[in-house]
Amino acid sequence: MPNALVFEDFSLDEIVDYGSVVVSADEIIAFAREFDPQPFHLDDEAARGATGGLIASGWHTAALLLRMNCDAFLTRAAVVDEPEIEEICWQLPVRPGDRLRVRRRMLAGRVLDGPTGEVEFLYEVVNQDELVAMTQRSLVVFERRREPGAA
Amino acid sequence: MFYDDFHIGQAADLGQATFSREAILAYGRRFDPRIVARAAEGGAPLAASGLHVAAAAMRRLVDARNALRTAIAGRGETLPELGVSPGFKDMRWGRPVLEGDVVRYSMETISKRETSKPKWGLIGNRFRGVNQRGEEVLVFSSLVLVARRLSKG
Repeated sequence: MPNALVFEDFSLDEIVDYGSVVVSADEIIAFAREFDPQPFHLDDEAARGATGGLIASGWHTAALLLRMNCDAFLTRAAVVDEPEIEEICWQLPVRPGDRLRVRRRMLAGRVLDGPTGEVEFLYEVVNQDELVAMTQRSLVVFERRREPGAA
Repeated sequence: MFYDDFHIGQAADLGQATFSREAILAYGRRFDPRIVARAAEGGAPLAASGLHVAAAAMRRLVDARNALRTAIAGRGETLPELGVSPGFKDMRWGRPVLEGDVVRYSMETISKRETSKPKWGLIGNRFRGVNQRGEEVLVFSSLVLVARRLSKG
């Protein structure tokens, strides 16, 4: 990728907004059947008492964040490694019809050998009411920009 | 199991999952288009998304817990209400999970504390996934709310 995003393309404390995905009941149920078949992720009626209706598996919300990150920047970045998700917090349930987007902030960056650089991002998954449903702190290692003329 | 039944250091085998090329690609089509692009290039075996490897751990946990709940119900005992998880931390992947790999999952209880709500306790578990060669491919620590055994008043 000749014009891929590299370590130097990310700035400390910069806040970027992107993504838009509407979560359907069918998708919530399909994901839950495969990965998290608990009643409140499978059946609206069964979920009434426990969670006030069907809610998405947190692993589904995390996967949707991954998709929005891929579409916004990861697929066109020179990613060397994604070594760690430091933390995911599921703060609010995601329900059918919710529209989710991402607010990303760079918390830290450090140069590694390689030459590569590691960035710590904080992602907030924000719903249509401007409420944060999930946060994720994780590390991505990018290639660094090659100096012109360097071997 | 109720909050009261968990003990620190208690470990459980959660069973195993096979990562077929089809399963890795299906997850990629929905959530990580980079996997689809790699498949189109051909060549090297496909690696599963790290979150796919973790979601499969959740599936193994739910299945193991359902088996336990069926046994409890079979004895005519009260089933604890299922609680949600506020999240996890320190998720790392020692090695990629490649197509055809079989990952065995396990869980160890590492913390427990009561919450402000008398109904729920908070249990910390450390999850681990190991491939068929004995190599660690996943580790993370999660928290989950677990119903406390209450005397009916």
